[in-house]
Amino acid sequence: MDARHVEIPAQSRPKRLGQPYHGLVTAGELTLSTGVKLPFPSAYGDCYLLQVPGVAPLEMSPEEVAIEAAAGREWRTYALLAGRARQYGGVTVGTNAWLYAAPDGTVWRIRCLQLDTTLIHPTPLPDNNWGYYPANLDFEFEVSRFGLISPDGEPDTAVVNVPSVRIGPETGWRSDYFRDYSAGEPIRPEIRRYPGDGFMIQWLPINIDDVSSDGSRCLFCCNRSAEQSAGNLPSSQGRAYPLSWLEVSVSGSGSAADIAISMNLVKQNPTEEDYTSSWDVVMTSVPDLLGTTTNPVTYYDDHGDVVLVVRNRTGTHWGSSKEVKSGDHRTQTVPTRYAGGYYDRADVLAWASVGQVSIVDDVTGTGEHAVGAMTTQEGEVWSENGRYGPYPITLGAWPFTYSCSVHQLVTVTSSVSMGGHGLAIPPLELEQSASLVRQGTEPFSDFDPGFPSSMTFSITSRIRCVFGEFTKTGTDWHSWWGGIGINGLHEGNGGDWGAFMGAFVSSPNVLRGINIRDVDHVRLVRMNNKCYAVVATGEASGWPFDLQQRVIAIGTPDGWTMINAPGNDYFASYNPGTAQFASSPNKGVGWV
Amino acid sequence: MGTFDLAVRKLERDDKRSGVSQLPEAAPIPASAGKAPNSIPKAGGGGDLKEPNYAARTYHPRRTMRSTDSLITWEYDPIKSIEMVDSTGTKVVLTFAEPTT
Repeated sequence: MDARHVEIPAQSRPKRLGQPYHGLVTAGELTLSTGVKLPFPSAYGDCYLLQVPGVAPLEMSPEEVAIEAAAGREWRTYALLAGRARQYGGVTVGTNAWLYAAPDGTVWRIRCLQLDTTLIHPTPLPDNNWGYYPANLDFEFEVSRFGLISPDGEPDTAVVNVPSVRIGPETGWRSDYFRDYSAGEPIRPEIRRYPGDGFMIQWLPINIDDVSSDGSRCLFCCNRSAEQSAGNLPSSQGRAYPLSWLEVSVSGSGSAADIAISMNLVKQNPTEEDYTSSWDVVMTSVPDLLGTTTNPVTYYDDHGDVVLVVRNRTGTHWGSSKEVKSGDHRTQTVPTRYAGGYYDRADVLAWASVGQVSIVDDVTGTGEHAVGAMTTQEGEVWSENGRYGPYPITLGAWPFTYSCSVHQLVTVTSSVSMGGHGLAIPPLELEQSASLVRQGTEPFSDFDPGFPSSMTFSITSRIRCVFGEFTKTGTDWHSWWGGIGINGLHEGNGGDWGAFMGAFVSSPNVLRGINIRDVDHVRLVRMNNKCYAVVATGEASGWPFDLQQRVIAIGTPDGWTMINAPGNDYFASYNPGTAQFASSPNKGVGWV
Repeated sequence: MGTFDLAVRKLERDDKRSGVSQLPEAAPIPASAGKAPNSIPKAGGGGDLKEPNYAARTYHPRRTMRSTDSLITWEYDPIKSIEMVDSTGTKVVLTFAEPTT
């Protein structure tokens, strides 16, 4: 029997062919209007529209449409391919393939052997524990006719090679560090960009970010892992940091041999070297403790052994008092970074991006150092064995009062864009006020004339972030972010205090997507070909908000939908045919 | 069912659905109708047709049907003729017209 020869009964009249079951797939099931449930196990996340050129109009009467709808069927002149493997009615196109609809209406499956592999590795530099990924790659495509049911022989196929395509900087992308297995502990995911085991294995996965509506353009992303939600892949697979994008253009009609493919590097993300920062210290008054000099004086015994070393202070020191005012102004600026690319409804290549992140850290403060009259005492020194001496010396000490107050305000501003649709992210603010009063003795050697000693410290901290606004007042040295540290008296200066940045944009890594800021860890992540999410995560310990990830908003080609709900593995899907959007905190959703 | 019974039933129905007129029941078909002469036709009519050779089928020119979204292209050859033999070994050829729609 000829297996390819599909007989139809002579008396039958084939009228309509296709996949008439459409709608929202939730947890792998499509529920028809009739209540019948159809399984679509992998149809979630990604949703690609395929519009074949020159497709015939439906030509169904309204009555016929109504009859079909009552039976749970809807006939469409375009197709939806669902899920990462781009499934169509139970047929898997593949995670490394997409469909191209040629101008003549024929449909082709374009499979790229370099997609979705773990085979692209860096070359270690000699005598170094890191290296570079290849700057250029050879791409191989298999073109074959899709969807053809024919009594004829083997389907039409061809191989297209696109050699030596630049995938990043001229030097290639810098690898993560390697670590020998004997080290025991792998390199933490937080400081890696590529999937791997944190030891000697790492790779650069290339995957499809999106496909245009006729498949003639396909966007490859270098260092794209396989996420289909706002969560991360388990363990070391991580969420790779996207580095660059290649656009693949397909043209031609007729036969597989007439299909042509070309590739172009269209976008690269900036690297950490492109982040800029500045640090200005402004001091408006330099203290001048009149006539103070410091001379180390060393006494030796006859054998050259050190007996006593004192710091001998001479001059008038008492009664001096000086105030100092100063400030730190630190900034960090991170240029626009890209989370991914997609084709909008007009098939224009658009980007989901984090705009310039600006972190301004302003610290101002005043300090006063008041020194009382020196108390002196005559003393004498003997050698250790007591055979020499006494040598007469003068011992002295000054009472001091030191006070300072410091104020810090850190502001992080940024915005996120998807196509032309902007999303203002509430700024992160960290504010601290701290004051210190300390009394004591600045001794001359170990002489202690018995001045009173005391210290009081107070600090108030305020955080405003996506988790809310929090305020804390205390007398201990620690605030939530360890911002201001007052280290006490600093000789010659009215105060000695410093502030940590409080917030900064940490290096790209395999967990966090495109980092927007620290503290509440707001970041932009790709969910699927048409959905991007702004998510936040609390800190591990010591902060006033919980750990669970919160999805702030999800962007589609039509704009942003505010979510503001917890969810470590939030799902969403956008239907490019109907512009419908669905999301779920715990179930895979998709459109067929 | 006798004529009397029908009459009674009709009356009963008319009673229940006052004013609604009813069509009279059709008269029963006599038991003698529908008999055929017990003879064997000249060709084929006896049933028990068998196709001795699949390869002998013929087809009309190829037709193409596309799914409404044009993703699936189904090329098929409509059947033109099937050659059969009946239980007596007589050849019977079924010939189908070429589809026009």
